[in-house]
Amino acid sequence: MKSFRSRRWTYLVGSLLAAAVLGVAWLLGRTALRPVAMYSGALLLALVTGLLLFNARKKLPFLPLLKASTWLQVHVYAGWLTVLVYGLHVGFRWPSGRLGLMLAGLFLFVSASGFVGLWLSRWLPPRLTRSGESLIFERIPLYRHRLQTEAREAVHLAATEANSTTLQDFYLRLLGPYLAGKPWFILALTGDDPKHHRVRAELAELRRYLDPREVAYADQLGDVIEAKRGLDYQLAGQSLLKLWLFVHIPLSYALFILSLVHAWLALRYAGRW
Amino acid sequence: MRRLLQSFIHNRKLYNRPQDEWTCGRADEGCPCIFGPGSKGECRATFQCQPARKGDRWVCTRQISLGGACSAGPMPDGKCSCAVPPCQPKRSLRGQRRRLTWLAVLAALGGAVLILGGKNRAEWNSPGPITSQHATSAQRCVDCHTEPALPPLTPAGVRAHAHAQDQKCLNCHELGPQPAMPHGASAARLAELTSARPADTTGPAILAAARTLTARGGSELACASCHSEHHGRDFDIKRVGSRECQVCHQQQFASFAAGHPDFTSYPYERRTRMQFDHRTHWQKHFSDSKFAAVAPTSCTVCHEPVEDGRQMRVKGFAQTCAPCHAGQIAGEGHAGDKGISFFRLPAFDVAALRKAGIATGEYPEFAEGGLTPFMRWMLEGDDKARTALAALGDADPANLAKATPTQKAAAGQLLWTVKDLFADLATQGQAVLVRRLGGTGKNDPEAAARVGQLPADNIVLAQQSWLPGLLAEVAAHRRGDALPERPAAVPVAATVATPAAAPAKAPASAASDDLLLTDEPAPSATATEAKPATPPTLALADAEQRVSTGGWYRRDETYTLYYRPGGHSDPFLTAWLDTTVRDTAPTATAIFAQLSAPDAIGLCLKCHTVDETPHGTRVNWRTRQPQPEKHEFTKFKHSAHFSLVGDQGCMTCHIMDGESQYPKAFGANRNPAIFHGNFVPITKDSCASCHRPGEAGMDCLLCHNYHTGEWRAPKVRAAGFHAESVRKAEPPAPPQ
Repeated sequence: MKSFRSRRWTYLVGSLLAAAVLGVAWLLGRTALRPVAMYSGALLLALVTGLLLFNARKKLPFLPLLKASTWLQVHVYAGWLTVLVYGLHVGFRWPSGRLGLMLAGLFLFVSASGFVGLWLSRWLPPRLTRSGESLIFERIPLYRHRLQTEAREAVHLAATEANSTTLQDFYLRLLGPYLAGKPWFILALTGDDPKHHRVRAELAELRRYLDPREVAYADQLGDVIEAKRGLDYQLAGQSLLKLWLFVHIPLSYALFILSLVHAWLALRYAGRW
Repeated sequence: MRRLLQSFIHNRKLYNRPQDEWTCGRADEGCPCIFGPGSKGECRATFQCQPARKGDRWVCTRQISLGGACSAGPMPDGKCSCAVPPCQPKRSLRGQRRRLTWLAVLAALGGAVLILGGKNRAEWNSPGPITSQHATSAQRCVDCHTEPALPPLTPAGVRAHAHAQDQKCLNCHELGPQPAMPHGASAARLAELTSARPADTTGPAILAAARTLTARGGSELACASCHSEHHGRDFDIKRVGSRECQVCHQQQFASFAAGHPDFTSYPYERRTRMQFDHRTHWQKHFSDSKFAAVAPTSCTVCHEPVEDGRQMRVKGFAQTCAPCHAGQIAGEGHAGDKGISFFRLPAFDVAALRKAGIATGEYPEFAEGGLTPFMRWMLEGDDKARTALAALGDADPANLAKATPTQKAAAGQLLWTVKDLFADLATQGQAVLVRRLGGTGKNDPEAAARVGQLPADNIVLAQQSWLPGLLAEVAAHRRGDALPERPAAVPVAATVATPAAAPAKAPASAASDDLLLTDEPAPSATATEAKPATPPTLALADAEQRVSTGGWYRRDETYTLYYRPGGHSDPFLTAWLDTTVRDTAPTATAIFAQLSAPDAIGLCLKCHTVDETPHGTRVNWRTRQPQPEKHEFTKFKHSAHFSLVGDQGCMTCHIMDGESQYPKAFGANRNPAIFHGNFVPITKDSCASCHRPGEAGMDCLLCHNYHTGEWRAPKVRAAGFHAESVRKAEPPAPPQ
């Protein structure tokens, strides 16, 4: 079985070769006054269809149609080729017709979201792993709920034992909203979440005023705050890994449908092909 | 210390279904119901477990992940005592994405319907704005496109569709008889060019490779092969790269500077239409002090750019040649008659004819000269004259002493055909002339030009002076009656010294109306009558001098009617030269020879040349003129280069050839392709000094036209292409 690295090299070299062949063929065809726009358009439509089949393949896991990882690799490298073919198709010019502009916009968003998704899927997972506990995305709300519950109970116990509302006030003013809130993606990923820093700083400031019996609960709240930071990091990272598909997949279908319309119009009105 | 949030204790873990459309509303609280929402998002929560019956008891079956068996246990009737409060299921992330995908699909389908069938489908279907040139006329897709119900997918259908599309272009763009062929050339011509040049394998590899993809053998090229529309108002639709231009060529090269074939005799493809030797004029005549006042000092005195700046046209005769040569055309300095003898009474040996018993009637015994070529042209249309001329053979009608009786009879017959012609001219005027000259009627402009506006009264006066009894005699001769007895005409030459010596039969009234340039005033009495001495009167100037600006005059002493050219572009001369240059009949040749001789009246062919090409023979009356409808393979714009010439001016590029044998290409030579230029051909290096990368550009289309041939400019109609298309497509209306 090939290693990931050797497989990547295989696909990369194959893609570069295919790109070179396409580029030369396009240059020769254009020089020879062949209808390269028609040829590149047909190839582009075939590539878009093939890329779209990846999503269908994921819905049909029972069919013996190669491994999903193979499909993904092909999808990634074919995506790069598709961008090249699109550039050749439009002559590396920005189209000026309404439909052409719409297709260009869709293609831009689909391809850009694909590249962003590719980059995120390469960049984020190791960071998420290194950040601490790898959480199941769907359970993150549950864990947040648990942290909220734990913090509430700690604050309640502290108030009961020390007969002080210092931590309760802190919870009501800052900690409760912080634990219930969802993070800003970028801030959570970069570790610069001001809410987190403010809650930690306030808690640290608060310690000097706490009853010795409350300090243990304050330490527990500190752990909860740190856990919430990790939770936010996981939520932000995993959300990004899933949300780019909200752009990529819907627009891919729209692109495919409007590409068919464009192909129909091109075949109907073109002076030759 | 970092705490772990999730545990994977096998019997306590939650089972998530991220693939489901809906998730339980209580999942975030850690207590999702075990049933989960239905497929439509309805809550299916009832109780925390389904108690199981064991013997006669009901036992709780709540999952450990939910806390295990409850302390309350099932109800006596077997129902769970822990009812699950209903929740509001939430759509899963995947469900949200699926929903968004469907929305996008529906939006795209809706957009597709609007694009293909909406009210504004033309705007949506358009791939972009068309060029401003086309935008002025095209309003609808169908103006430029065919719209088949279904796109053609078979090769034949594709070809037919492309052909139909091209026809749409050709409705406005006339590109010659073979518009779709490369360079508008025929397949045979292309094959000839291809076989004439071996394929050059030293060119750029990309071109050689691309050539293998081109259709060979003179296949048609669709307009869309090179011209792509819908790229914006200012898009250069004519722009084609130099590589694309060369792809079909046998000889391919990298650029103009590197590999372009050297020029051979550029820009000289033929001899000049006017025989004008720049070298002798510039070096000999223009430097002569005699012509200092009129000699040009620079090229622009005689040459000027045409409106589009491409060609340098020779200015008109008045601005160029006239200062020196205008007088020569009118006969200035010409020895002998300054007019062309058009009609005369030819010399006949009247005495011999009478002696042979041939009636001649009135005829001058001392007439001189034979038939003029113009008379012979007119007489050849008469059967009798033609027969007589044939029978006469080489006999001289003026000396029939040794002629055979047959020849004498022929001479007599010829004499009467001349008199017939003269009588017809006198009585019917220009109509006879037009008919005899081969015209088709009064609306024949060429024949009218050949008549030269000959005044009819001038013929009458000539007849009355030369043969006063002509009309009566000819009438009698045509009836076959005996001729009226009249004395032979008196030779005017003998009496021309004084006005009174002219023939006496002209009516006084005619003489008083003599506005038509008779040589002598009509006398009122015969020359033989004794006249009393009369006081001297004002003397008439010579008839030839009296028509110094051109016109008709006669000389009674030679019984000849002359035409004197009025100056440059004389219609009489140009009409006769145009007529006779392409006529190989002996008479026409004689006329042409007379008019084109080096010392001919008018000196037309001293400068104007004759071209004999497969397309015909013609006199070049004009210098090379702009031909906006003619699209040659090579083009050059003089005006764009004016700022680049050095101190030498035009001679920066046009270097005079001191050794040129320019005159040798003229004279008997009528082939314009044989020539010696006055200037040294321009070399490629002259152009390549500026036309190189980063400077003046080297695109093929900078100096070459792809579409060559002759056609009109595109028809631009405010009403749009459609009207033109319909007009061409519809059959002509039947006659009412």
